[in-house]
Amino acid sequence: MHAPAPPTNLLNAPLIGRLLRWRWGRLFGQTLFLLAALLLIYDGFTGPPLAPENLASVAIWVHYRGFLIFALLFAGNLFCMNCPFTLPRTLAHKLSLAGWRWPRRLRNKWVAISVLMIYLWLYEWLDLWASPLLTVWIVIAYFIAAFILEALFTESPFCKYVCPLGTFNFVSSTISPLQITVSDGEICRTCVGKECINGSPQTLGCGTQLFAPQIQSNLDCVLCLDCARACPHDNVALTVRSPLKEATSSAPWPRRWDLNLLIIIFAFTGVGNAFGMVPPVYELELWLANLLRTDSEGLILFLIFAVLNLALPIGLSLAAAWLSRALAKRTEPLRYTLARYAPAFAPMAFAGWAAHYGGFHFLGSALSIIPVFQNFLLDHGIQALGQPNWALGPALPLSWLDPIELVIVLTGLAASLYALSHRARRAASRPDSPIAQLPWVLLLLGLAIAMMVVFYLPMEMRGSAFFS
Amino acid sequence: MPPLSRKLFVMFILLLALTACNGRNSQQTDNADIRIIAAVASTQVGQTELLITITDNAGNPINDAEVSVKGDMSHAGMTPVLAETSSGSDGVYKMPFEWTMGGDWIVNVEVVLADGRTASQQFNYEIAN
Repeated sequence: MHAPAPPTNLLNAPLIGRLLRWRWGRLFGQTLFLLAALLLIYDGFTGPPLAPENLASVAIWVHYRGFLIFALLFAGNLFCMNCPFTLPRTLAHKLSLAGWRWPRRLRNKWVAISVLMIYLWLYEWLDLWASPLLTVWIVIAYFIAAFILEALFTESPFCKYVCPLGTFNFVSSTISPLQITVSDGEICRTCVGKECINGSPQTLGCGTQLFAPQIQSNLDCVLCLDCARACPHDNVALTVRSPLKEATSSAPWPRRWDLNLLIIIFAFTGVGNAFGMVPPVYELELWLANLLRTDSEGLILFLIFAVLNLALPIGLSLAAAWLSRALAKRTEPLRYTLARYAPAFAPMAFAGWAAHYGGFHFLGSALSIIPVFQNFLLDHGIQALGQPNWALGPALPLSWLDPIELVIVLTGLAASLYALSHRARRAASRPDSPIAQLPWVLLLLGLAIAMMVVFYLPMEMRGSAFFS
Repeated sequence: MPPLSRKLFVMFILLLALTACNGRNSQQTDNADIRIIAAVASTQVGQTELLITITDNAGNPINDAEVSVKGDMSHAGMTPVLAETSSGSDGVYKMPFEWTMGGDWIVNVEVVLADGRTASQQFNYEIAN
């Protein structure tokens, strides 16, 4: 009789497995990231004020975002794994200022969605990408926010409920090929200490309160591997899976408004963020400025992004859910219909961000860090790497970038359409007909077209106040 | 004051001190004796011509300078556009230049005179698509 091969457990792999299991493995990675963050903060404050010449702005807005995309696509949530912002956690816990529990009403994604929206709005309004100084203040704000929340609350609310980068990584990692699971569920059933979540005197348990044998999704997993180190039975595994496993899973997906709207909002923000840098947004700003008789760019951008990133995804997904439910002749609550199809949007959402950050900014500017670093060394009297060659920039010919972005978007669309039809076929009680899927298909097509139109428009990067 | 709080306080003060250091003037040397004026034929995306006029303080043209230009977009990571020339006539140095993208551009002009004196100046342009 054929038995399926057990999934590959990376924690058992020769070298990489030992490194991942190493007690100080995460601390080592976090320390490297912390040193990098300190270097960036230093250059942000003291280096050239011009963003393309400063390590902080180039490393964060080009390389961090680019590597993040590739890490999520080919491995998993590696940034959260090595996140330096949570490094002062032990110090914060030592202070134990309050020891509160995170308020029950806030144990959802609404705060995360709000913070992500505010972050994206500030990004455009303050032109963070054009200012090394503001960029490093954002980094410092992360450290402070993580520290305060860790000091005040007993669990890790910053990662799970607040951090906009974590929110980005959580949703994106639902299409990542690595996932925490357990080798033998029976061992967990009889386990007394449940150290993977509770921790032990020697090791931390899961900071985001995930119980390893019940993990069905990468959402909320920071890939810290504390669960693997804590498990006394050596039963936690880091397995390779299909990137579409979650999008096509027949396992019940939480029927929560916040989680499901987050995925669709995330897809729309991918378009909205790129739209902030193409000529039509400036025409729209002017039109709104005249209409509202205001010269407040902050207000105008707030209105634009409130519509693009919130009102539009929420309105359209509710309309699609209502129509889909009616066409399927179901009588279920609307959030059940939403939960059936929203996870299928994850590949499309990720594709939008990947095309923008990975395809355009990273591939178009990957080598720019070399002259910037050479310049940094020269400014500190170190001539070992010679004079900067400022002509270095693109990793690939610029003429390739548009086709690459197109391929990424179309791949995301194809994956989402596949996931959509898969989820429809496995719908509770009976499959949904193709006609019931139509509203979602149209929404996905609309998103893909919007992405392609925006990505094919000439970019116009304005770092000065529009109304100046 | 508890030791930990004191350490945090010191770290905060150090951070503020670092903030005050903003703006290392990367490899730039300004020279009050030399005037640099820049003009561009077009502020639309595409090929254009840069006209750099170099004079001394009295307005006398300087023709024997090496002029190099680096045009940056405001976004981090965008490849700059470089140009240079050493042939000026009546203090005016012409060089082809390309605005590769619309948006804010920061053009830095660096001048090295025959006697070794240097000067640099930054010019900002808003380029339309």
